[in-house]
Amino acid sequence: MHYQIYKLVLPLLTCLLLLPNFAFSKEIQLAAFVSEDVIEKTEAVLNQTASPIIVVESPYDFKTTIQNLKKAIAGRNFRLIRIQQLTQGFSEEDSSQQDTIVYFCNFNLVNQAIKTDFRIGQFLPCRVTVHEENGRVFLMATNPEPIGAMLGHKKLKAICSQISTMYRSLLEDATL
Amino acid sequence: MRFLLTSLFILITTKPVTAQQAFLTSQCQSAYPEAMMFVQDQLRQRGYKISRVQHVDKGLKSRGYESRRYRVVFFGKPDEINIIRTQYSALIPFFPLNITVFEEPDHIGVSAIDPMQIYRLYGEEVLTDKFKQWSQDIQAVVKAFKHCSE
Repeated sequence: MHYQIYKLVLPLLTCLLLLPNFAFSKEIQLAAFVSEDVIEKTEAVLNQTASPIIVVESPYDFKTTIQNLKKAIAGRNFRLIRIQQLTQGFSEEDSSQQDTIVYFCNFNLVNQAIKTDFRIGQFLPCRVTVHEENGRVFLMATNPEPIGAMLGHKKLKAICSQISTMYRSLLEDATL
Repeated sequence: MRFLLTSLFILITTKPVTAQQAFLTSQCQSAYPEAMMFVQDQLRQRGYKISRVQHVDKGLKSRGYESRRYRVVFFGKPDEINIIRTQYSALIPFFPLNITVFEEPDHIGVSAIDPMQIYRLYGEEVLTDKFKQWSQDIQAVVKAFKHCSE
């Protein structure tokens, strides 16, 4: 009798214990938008809360998108720190490549985050990359949420979620 | 009993990533400028170029917040940045790679996310060798940092 209970309960218990481990590994496609099915894959990325990146396609051209992003940053009372090409500091300035990183900051949030856990520096200052591919313009940011979940620090997890939400709102503002 | 042991083995080996695994950290008793120099030298020795050092503490101080030195070193290899930009655009937000060098009352600390964690989050076997190399290099820098004052 006891043996039968073991046979039934143990696999069930094992499954329950393993469930959270697999919940961590939501997969997305890395080849996100290198291929033609840009929109489908971008949407796939957006639909995943555990996705490592947040991506929004802009309906505007590259320059207008950057202007809109700057306005959105100011509109949310963030401080624009600098705008630079992705390759700046690595190679000579290349006007043919446009990938641009916009750095900005909410000092109150940064202050609070650093005091909570110094490791948050991985996400500071906040940055959004504007990327053009096949004539389409994308706004991209890292998603601190899944990484914050790894930290095992409730307050920091909350800050990471806050940053993720802020990125989503900001990218939405910039692409309206 | 055998089943129980097998279950336990599976449970242990599929344990989720912990903060200690996701983030690489170490500390050293040293002056801040020397520690910062040490990190940059270590990165250069491994073929990386430092693209920028972000002085987060200066920004905070300019806004009236108190802060010990807290700086982010951005680094990468020009050819790899180009590969990511042109072939793996979904990775762009994570580049350049970075290491944080921060001051604590009794030591200087470094912290970096293990690139293999980023790789795992993407869940696709792309640039595996590169990710492994970045992970090994950053682990080596963080490990060496313990001896930065020697």
